[in-house]
Amino acid sequence: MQIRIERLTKTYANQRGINQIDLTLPEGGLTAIVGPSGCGKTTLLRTLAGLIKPDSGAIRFGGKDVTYAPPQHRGATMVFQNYALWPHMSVFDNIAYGLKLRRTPAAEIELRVTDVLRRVEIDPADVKKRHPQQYSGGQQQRIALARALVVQPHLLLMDEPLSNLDAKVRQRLRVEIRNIQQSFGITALYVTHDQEEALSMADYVVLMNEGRIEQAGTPKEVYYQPSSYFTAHFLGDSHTLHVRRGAEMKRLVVRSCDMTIGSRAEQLPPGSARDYPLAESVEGGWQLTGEVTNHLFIGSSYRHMVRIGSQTFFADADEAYEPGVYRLHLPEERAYWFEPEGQGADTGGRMISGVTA
Amino acid sequence: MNAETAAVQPAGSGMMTGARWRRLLLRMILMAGALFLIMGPLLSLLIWSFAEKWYWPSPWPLEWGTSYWSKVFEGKMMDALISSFLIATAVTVICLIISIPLSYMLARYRIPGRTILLLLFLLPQAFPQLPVFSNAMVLMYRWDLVGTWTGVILIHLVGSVVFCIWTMVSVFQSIPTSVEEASTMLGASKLRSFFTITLPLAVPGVIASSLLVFLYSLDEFTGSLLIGAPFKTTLPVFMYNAAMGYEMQIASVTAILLMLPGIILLLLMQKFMKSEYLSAFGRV
Repeated sequence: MQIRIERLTKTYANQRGINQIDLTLPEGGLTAIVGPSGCGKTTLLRTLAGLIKPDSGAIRFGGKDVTYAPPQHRGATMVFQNYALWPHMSVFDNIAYGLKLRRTPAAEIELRVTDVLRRVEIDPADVKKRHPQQYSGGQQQRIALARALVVQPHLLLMDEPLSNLDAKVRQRLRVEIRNIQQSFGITALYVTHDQEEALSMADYVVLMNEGRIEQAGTPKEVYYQPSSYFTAHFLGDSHTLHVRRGAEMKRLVVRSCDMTIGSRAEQLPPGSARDYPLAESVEGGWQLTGEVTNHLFIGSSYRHMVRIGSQTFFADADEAYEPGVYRLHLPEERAYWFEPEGQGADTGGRMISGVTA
Repeated sequence: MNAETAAVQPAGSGMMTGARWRRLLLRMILMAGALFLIMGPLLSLLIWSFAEKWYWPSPWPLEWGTSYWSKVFEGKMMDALISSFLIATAVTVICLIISIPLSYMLARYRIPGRTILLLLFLLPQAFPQLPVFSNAMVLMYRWDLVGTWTGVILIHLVGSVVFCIWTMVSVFQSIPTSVEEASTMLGASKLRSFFTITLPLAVPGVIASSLLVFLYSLDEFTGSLLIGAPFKTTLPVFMYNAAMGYEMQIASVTAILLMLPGIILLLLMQKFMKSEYLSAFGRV
């Protein structure tokens, strides 16, 4: 079912609300909302769930206006960060709860619970005897997912479902949640603060900041075509450099893996100790001159600490470069330029010491 | 390093045996002392309850027997025992009916003046019991409740609702809201969600606090004496009367009978009381 959100607003005293959100969740797709803490992503999710009443705006499930409908009448279900399973019930009863409320016949409940358990890869054999707390964290989240899916909801909401799990389980469950969501063909909204999770799982990524949508699009679009400084800086392992492009002062966002270290230079060009060193235009991109101060082995590659003027950033390379002055290359399409002024919303200034535009 | 490993060595090495015996002996003496301090008065109660004749300066009763036990079980004591248990049951039930919804709301909703409300409940405990109860008695005279079971139950509720609410608030606070949200999202109404999810999860806490209330009511004396006596007699009041009449044996038997449910219920409660309830206790 297609979900439409129109000019949805909810204000709080502490500014963690949402402001004029317009968004459409495509039918059968997984939309990920990602943003820093306090950006309003959880408020948006809980408003969709019906757990928070918005101040204004509208929510439509299909053609139906559900803006002020109570959560139990929306047909949306939720997967929580802390699983929210019921320890006093067996796993079977946990999953059958929603079906019993819908007065499903016992025989059908049995069939559907067994089916959904197979699909989330939990052994259906002893679920009537075992309780949720007898399963591992990853399994508990699968059970919670089964409980949310078995009632065939119009919308599946997931509130940071993998945050409590360790890295390996998280990696695996990412893929599995994605597969399960696709096999059910269910419209899903996934809230996370982990940009990698959002990019890898979603059909559609929505980047939120300070209660507004900063950018929305496919994972590739938001990653490769950031429309704002915030998006460019938030996604990927990004750094901000204040540089001169010709006569203009610019903010340049660059990702660690995009900048390549080239040939050695004899010395730093004049004026490069300033806060706005020059970015020279070369064939196919840009060239900066910087000083490699040291490097770290990070497993897949070497991470070099590079100083350009008074600014420091990291550049990854397959081989280790000795300390010294190098020419650095940045392909044209990987250079994201932004005006230095209007720093109201940005957090990018943290890499620079004592720079004011 | 060597000294450490030696200390960890089990009893096998002969060198340690002397020190070990001395330590064991010391521990036994200390334990016996503690046992005497705790059990001494209780033991004297037990002896008194079986003493038929016991005059000074004899260190032991001159005659042993169970005649006082049978006397107690034949006489008014049984009435007092039964009414005490009935009252404690009634107080517990009413107290739960009042405090479960109230403490749930206090735990879940941002009620304005929440802290003040909770402190208000505590107020009767902040003053000495006697003035609070005598004032209550004045009120109850006006409503003709003095000397009635209703009056005794009401005076017990004054004290018990307080700590019932205080413990239950922390019980409900220890249950995450997301478990309720999960059930409403699946289609359950608020009421259904409360009865199928929240209340079952709160059961250990409910049992623990109802045991506390039951015991409080069973042992409550001041209020029962002021409101109930002489027309309605609970077990503690009965015991008091017996002791005042220098019937040491009757008083001892009653005291033992009063102690038993306390011991049994406290043992039960240990099973249900979770440490998180205690740590959350009084957190407003």
